[in-house]
Amino acid sequence: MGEMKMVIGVVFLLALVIVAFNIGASSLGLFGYSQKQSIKIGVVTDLSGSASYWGESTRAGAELAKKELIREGYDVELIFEDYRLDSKTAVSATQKLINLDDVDFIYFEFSPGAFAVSSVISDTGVPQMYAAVPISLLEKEYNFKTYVNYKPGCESIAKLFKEQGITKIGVLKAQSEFGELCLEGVKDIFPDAVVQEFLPFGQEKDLRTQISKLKEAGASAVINSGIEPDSLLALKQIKELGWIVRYGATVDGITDRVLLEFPGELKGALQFKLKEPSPEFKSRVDSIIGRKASNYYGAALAYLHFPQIIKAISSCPKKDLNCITKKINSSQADEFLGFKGFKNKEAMFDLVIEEIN
Amino acid sequence: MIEAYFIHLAILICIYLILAVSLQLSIGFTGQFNLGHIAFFAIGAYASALLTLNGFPFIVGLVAGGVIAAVFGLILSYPTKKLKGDYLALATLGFSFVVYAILLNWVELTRGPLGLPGIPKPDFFGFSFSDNSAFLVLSLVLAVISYLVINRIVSSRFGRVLESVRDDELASKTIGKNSEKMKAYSLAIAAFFAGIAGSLYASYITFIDPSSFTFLQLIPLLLIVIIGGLASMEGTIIATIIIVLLPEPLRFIGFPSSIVGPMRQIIYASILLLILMYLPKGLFGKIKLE
Repeated sequence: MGEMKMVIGVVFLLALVIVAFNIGASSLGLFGYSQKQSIKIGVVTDLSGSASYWGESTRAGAELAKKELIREGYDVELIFEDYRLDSKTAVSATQKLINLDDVDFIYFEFSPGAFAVSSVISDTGVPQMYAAVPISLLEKEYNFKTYVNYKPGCESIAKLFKEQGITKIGVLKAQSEFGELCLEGVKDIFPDAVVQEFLPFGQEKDLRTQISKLKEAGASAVINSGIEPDSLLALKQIKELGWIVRYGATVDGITDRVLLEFPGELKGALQFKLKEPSPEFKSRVDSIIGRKASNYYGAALAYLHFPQIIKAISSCPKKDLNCITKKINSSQADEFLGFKGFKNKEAMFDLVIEEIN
Repeated sequence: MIEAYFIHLAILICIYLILAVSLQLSIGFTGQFNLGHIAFFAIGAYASALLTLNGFPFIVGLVAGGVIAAVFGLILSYPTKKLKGDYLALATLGFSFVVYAILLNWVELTRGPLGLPGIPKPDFFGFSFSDNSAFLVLSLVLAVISYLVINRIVSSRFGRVLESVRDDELASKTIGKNSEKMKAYSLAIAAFFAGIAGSLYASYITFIDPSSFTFLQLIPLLLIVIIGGLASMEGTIIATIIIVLLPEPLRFIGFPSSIVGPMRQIIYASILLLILMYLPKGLFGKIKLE
């Protein structure tokens, strides 16, 4: 037992040594710490949790952008932090990025974490871009928002369903701000939409009750505001019930995997999305990940915004947040993803409605 | 700048210490396999957040968070008074799921999945704790008070009765001790301190939503109690520091970005497994985990 205690003691000592080493390196300016020349971007996302399929894509897009920026002569360093959608971990990761890594900018994904870290970030005056649906965080001075706006997206597919003769619609509403926004959009077209709620990000293990209730209510189309795992679950239960229904989904609700698993159920499905990245871009993302990615939008958003961020930071005096904000806000429109520029720090995109046949 | 990071970690240690010593009172000293502790933490956090967001001073939110959680502890102790071991664990786990479902679905009160953003930082008799260094002082004071109070409880006559209930409930009843009442008090006290920790957490993070209080959040707490050793107050302090700090050094290992997330998880879990394999009684465990 004494030996075992020693082994464990050694493990902890090693851990302490790593911290001490890094702090020492930091204060001495070794190994790329401190005395920074490069522009450092902290990327906080989910790399090992339920939304890691998206985080992995973002990582690939960020790495791709970094390679190109380095080729153009920019000195860029990316520091990835995994927070598995846990608020406390998000705050710890952000504190580390700001206080130890001394990052110039933070790129953050998903809403619960974005809310949790917003006060930390605004206290320290580090600008942030968050890829998430909520718009309320834009009130913070140096916060930028990217990603699609769910309200007009869901409204557009509801409108198209109506034009195609659907009279009653069901909404599988994710219990989150993006679920609320999607429902608002649908209700603008179908005020009497039947609503069933669920926990998004694959937290729900069974949607049988919700789907059965929508079927019973006589809905002839269902709009699901969830993401890939939620779509897989909903479609599985639609298939099991043998329910013939039109399906509507958000930008990341119908992925290649969903299409592959439920081709029959997705016939005539509608999806709002950003403009599709090119096949060439997709293959570059795949080559970084080492297999076919299950999502390309995370990568595309990072690939689009990182050059804007880096170029803004490098063209402004150090830590001049007003200058950086102004520069990012005036980023040029880009064909890529249908980016139309920033409007009051919010990235605007052309929405594409796709019908799956 | 480095200090700011360590201050943040020290604040987390204080919050977790309050949670862990109170869980130790319930599990380690009373023998109640209580899996509802995270629910008391949530009740305290929401009670305090709702009050402070509606203009009440932090002190009111803090006390109310503790008291409301304690009341729920007393209420929970009534239907579970005859339960032990796995049955009690299931009942208290069920309680935490009920609380989670209420937080998620009582949208008018809790804003449901949208959570409560913008919770004000504490303001105590005109002194603001918005700065993290000041917040650390507040957290440290509350953690020390919690530790001393629980330590005093477990070394008092009442604490010895709790231990007798844990070791042999029938024997303690035979000598005239009202074990059910003792267990109810123990659960309420544990819930009170969990509520205090919740209040502190809400005002520190400034945003809470139901996902901050899932069963998964209970796992590190149980680990602290087990690794520290059942019924060991000193062990609880050391285990709290280990569990809160352990993920941090892993952030500094320069893994390639393609494996950074999973590798940290694998190493973290492996270290914990090693500890549990070779130290089944924990670091300073006085009784064996059954």
